[in-house]
Amino acid sequence: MPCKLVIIGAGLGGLECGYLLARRGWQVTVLERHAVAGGCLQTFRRSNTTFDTGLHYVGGLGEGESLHALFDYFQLLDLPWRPLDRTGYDEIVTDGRSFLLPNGYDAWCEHLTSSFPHEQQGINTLMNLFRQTEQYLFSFLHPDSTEHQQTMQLFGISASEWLEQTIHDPLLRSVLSGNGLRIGLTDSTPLYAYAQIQGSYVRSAWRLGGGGQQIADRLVAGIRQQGGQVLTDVEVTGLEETNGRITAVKTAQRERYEADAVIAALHPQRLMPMLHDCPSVRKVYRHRVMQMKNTTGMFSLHIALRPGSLPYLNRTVYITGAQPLMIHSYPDRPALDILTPSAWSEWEQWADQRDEAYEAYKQRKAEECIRIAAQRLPDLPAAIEQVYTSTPLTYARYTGTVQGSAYGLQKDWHSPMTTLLATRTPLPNLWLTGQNNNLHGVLGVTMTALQTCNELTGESGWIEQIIQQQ
Amino acid sequence: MTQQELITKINTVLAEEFEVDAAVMTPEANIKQTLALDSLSLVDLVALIDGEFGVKIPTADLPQLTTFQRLYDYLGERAL
Repeated sequence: MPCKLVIIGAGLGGLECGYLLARRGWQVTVLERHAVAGGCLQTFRRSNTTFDTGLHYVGGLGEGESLHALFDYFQLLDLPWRPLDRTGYDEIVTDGRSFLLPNGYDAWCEHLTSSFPHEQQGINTLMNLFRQTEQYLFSFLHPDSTEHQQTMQLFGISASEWLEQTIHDPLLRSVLSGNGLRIGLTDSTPLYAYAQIQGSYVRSAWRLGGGGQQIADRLVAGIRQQGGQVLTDVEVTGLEETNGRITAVKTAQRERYEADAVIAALHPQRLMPMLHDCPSVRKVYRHRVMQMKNTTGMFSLHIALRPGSLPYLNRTVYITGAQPLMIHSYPDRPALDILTPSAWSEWEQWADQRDEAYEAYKQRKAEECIRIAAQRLPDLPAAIEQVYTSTPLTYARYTGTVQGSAYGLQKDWHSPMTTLLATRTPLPNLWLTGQNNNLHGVLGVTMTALQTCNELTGESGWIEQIIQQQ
Repeated sequence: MTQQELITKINTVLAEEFEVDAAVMTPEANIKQTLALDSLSLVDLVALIDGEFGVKIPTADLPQLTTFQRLYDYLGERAL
């Protein structure tokens, strides 16, 4: 009789766990409170155009790279992935100048060294860090190994301070941290986050034509193919504990799903109220989780362009400054996203009710972002057909992230022990997964999904076999 | 805060958060056993001490904190 697994939340982490374990013979039921599965992979339509909510581009998907074998296993490789310009997948606009970052470790090193020859040693040191991090990516499968110990040490080092010590030229530092928006780079960011995420994009960078929802749809189809269920419009309200184990998941619709194991793939701060009737979960754990800080959110402009008005930009542009921007072009339609960090506190006053002042504030902020973006894309203002905006309030509503945070819980190098939330919980058959545990991003969430499944099954051999297919 | 006030606060906070009877938290009692700590709840303890007393306990210092008395002494030297 197959064991019953209930997964709360159908974002990337929940769906990847569901797929992995359905193929291992578990009877999987994924419960999603939203009308659509996908979480931060969701897309939406405005002006007859599809926009992404959270997915922009993915690194390390090429053959032999970190995600390749896994995405092959997930049956995601034949989606319409488009490689970004290998001579410059990222463009950093800083101090009035433009710097391209090319793909390939050697090309990346050579290109930066040609612009900053006095920093050759520092650039090589950084490249070695990227290489080592990639090499040790799956070391979590062997937690007692030297490789894993070395990896964990990187969580206790400041990314900013390490860059300052390794790269002495402030302009080069600005270039190397200019795309930090995609990792939420702050003074708290651990070096591991910088090394893993940034390094993966050096290998290769890809956009998904048609949007991130396809990833969710494929994983859902894969789970169903294995006899599993993915149910939407189902809101989990509580977990039932019997004799120290979770035995069922209860919903707002007064349904009860029996479970031998549960994976909570939603924000842990949304899970804690569901554990109120679980005596094994003591106040100290619940309070700790509830007091953890979240990363900042984003203010996003989703721009429908006049067809043919602006050439497609096959790279991601980052403009540094007091209001840093990330500019993302859509490969298969006249559309563009502009993102800038924006804290929940900026929008909190409108959390319960949006009014004219909210709309006016969004408008002013959007105009400012367009003005900044036009420094690099002077034809942009005239090319705009319509601008739609989203704030952390929007993000919280549609993706369930607390405070609309872009990257989930904040990992802090000052206290990795207390800011890296374990996938294990006080209940022996309840696990966490998703961007809030180790790292955000497609790579981070996928690694955590593997870790969760490794711990749940108590064996790593089958995961190693999947990885070794590359 | 006097040493006794500190001890009272430590015991009150630990008893409340770890849901144990404060009476079993004697100075020579073993913290790990009394609070039923495993590697996961050890992190809860570290986070709680940081939040309530402003003291960050480095991983290297944890092994020495075997009894409640040792914890009182440790925080007595460092707490605000």
